[in-house]
Amino acid sequence: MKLSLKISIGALIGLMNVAVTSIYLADRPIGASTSYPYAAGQFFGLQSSIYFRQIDIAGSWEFWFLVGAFLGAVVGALMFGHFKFSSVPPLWAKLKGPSAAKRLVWAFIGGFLLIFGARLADGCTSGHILSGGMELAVSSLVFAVFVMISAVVTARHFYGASQ
Amino acid sequence: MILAFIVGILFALIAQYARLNSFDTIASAALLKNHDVVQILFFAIAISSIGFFIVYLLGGATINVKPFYVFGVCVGGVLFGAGVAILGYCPGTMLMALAEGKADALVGYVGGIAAALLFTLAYPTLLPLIGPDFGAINLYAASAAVTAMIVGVYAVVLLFAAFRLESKA
Repeated sequence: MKLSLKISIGALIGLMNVAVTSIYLADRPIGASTSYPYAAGQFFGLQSSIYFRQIDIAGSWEFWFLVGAFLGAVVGALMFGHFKFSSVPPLWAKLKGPSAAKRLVWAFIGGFLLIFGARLADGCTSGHILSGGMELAVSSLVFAVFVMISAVVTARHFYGASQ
Repeated sequence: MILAFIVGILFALIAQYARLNSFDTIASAALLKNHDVVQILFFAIAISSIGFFIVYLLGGATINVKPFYVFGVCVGGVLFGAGVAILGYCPGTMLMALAEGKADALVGYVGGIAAALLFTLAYPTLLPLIGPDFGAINLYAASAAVTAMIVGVYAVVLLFAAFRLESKA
């Protein structure tokens, strides 16, 4: 990708984040991962649990954010011609083999680790790294460093031998 | 609710255009083979940190950061990083990948819901373990001039890192 394009995309994401977070629009940082316990709580009837009551408002905002992201991506997939039914990404097939069952088992484990980690830390890429990074939050900067180190170390061990 | 929905649509179109919702993009970033995502994040954070500070100074934004629970943030970061490397999507881009027909993103979502369910049930037990809590702190100083310098240095460091990564791709 060309550097100028990366700067433009970064600037667009950054300026949108400033605008959305301002008191004139959402008056709160964006986020995605709180929608998971929100959806789980609604689905499994845990609305009276301590945790659900704590994340109710943020979770509902993030739930609608992701409904928009999903539908926006449906439109985008048609617009950019990205829609393609598949269960094994090309790079995964190259590194770990073409088995769909293996990929799906690991996708479950990966999704589990991802959201459990995000809930322990109280944020993810959007809430911690993008928004917390924007507001120079100590928790988010520490989170970002741990995520980067862990992702690189995990990738090296998990894909490394087969490269 | 409507605002969140519209913002979601816009973020999805940008992320898709840049292929941030693709396993290959994220996994190759974790394998240090392609720095596009990290560069885009660094540019976004550098630019937004300056923009946010200006809006904040003008009274148009309030600081709303997450508390620094040392154990929760560090262990959470390690688990999250491992999850990103294996799944190749983050909590938001997972749904954008699902919209493009990726069945692994759907299974990843189910795994995420299972984790969220477990966390909700285990929360009363986990809560005393995620501290100590240093509170919702950020790096802003009491004086606006000092904060301006801190934000400036922070943005320059991120921009410098992003430009440095360009030559290493």
